[in-house]
Amino acid sequence: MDAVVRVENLTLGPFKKLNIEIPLNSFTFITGSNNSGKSLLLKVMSGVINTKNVTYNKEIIKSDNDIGFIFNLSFNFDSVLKTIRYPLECLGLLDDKINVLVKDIAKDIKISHLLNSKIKDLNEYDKLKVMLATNVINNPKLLLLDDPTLYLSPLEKEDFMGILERLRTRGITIIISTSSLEEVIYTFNSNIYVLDKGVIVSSGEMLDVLSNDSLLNKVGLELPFMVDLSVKLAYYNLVSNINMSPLGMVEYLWK
Amino acid sequence: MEIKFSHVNSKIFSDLSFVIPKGEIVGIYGDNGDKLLRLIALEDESKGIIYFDGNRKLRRNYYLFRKTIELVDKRFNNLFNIDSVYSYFVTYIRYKKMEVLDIDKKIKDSLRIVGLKVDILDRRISTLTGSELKLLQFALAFLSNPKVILLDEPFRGLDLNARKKLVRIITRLKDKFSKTIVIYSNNPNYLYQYTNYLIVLDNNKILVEGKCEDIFFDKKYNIVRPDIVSFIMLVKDKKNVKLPRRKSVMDLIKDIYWNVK
Repeated sequence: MDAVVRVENLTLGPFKKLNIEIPLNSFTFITGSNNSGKSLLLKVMSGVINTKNVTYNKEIIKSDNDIGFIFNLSFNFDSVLKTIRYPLECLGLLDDKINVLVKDIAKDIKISHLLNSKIKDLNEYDKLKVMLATNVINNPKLLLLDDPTLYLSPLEKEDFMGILERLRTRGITIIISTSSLEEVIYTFNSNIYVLDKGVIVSSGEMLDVLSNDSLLNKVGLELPFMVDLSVKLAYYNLVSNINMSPLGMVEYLWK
Repeated sequence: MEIKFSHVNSKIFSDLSFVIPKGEIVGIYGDNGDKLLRLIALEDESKGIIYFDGNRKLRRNYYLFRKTIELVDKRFNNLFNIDSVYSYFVTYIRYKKMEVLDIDKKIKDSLRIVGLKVDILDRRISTLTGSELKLLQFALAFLSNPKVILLDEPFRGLDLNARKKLVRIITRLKDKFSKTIVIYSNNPNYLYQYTNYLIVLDNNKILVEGKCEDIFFDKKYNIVRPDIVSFIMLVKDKKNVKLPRRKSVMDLIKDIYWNVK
């Protein structure tokens, strides 16, 4: 598969000669311990920090508008509608077209009922969804999110990952940095990179990385409950593979 | 310090009555729990009867209680627009009107408690990483030696080692210095692991308060439970096998092993 972003020989902050490649239309998690350089790597890949070590696929990413980057929840306007419309107004689109696009994206991200409210009245999760809407409304090809799910509850995390998964089917490559592994299990076919002090210590498919529990614990990451349970039961030869459904696990154990 | 709310109303909440007991790590669970923390910290306006250690809060004495409470917010917000860490500490001490003899020693002590290195004082706030900011917030909160510490989502963004360390600090503060510690989190796993007493909010009212374990294991309440609790309850439900109440997966595995064998 083609790479969208390629980082080569990056030496910056904690990183020493780091190489990383993000394939097209993939869902990538970058995780690791505190101070391992997760956010810094995202800033480098999004172009916020300018280095010569980053190359983009020119056919897919033609301009800066094709990259969306969510790193905090600060808004320029107090009205939700105005906030979402603004990126399109900057592009100089006609009013009718903007209205249609806003309605579409609001339906996709499930914020139709919020369009007439004020930002300051929203809770953490609704703010995040509005931020997501402003970033994907002009159809970026690459979306980077710096720890978006930090303050979400487990149910909200699952919902948010569903929304992102749907965005991916529209051709957006998604890169997320995260400090917990809880949200990882709600996605399919995602890749994980585990960083520790600026070094990639583990990478690959989601379940392959998760099953190495001793490494992840050493780095300081907590496994999601069902994965933890499966991996530890496998030591006692009670299960053979990772089982995500609690009900399936119970039926299997007490059959 | 024991905090007692009886029939308190505010913009969001109506008729709140609860007790935050002394010498326990108290958890708050449910929507708008962060707003409740703000109410306890006397940052939001409220009408009703509030006692701190048996003394009633009145308009003329509320600043006395306000001084003994410290709220650690979700995010770090730069109050004074100062970028240097050291000047931020000094300004914060002046802002809180603390009487300090040796400022440098006080700051270094506070940094040592939370496990930050002293060379952070030479750095700028805008270059700190997420976890360093979080620990800086705790260091600032511990400066004034408050009696009540309110923590809004304290564990988010900290990895396992940093979190274990923070829990050790909190437990020591509770045991040795008998501080009252209140934690709000919307993740039930953290509350189940780290708190003893729980106050559950539902629809901006108090649903229940009591021992953390008993509430999470009670079928009556329709709340999102910690993963390990839901699993133990599912086993009881489907297979009628009673596993003991466990907090760590390691213990649970042993129970399952003996049971299935």
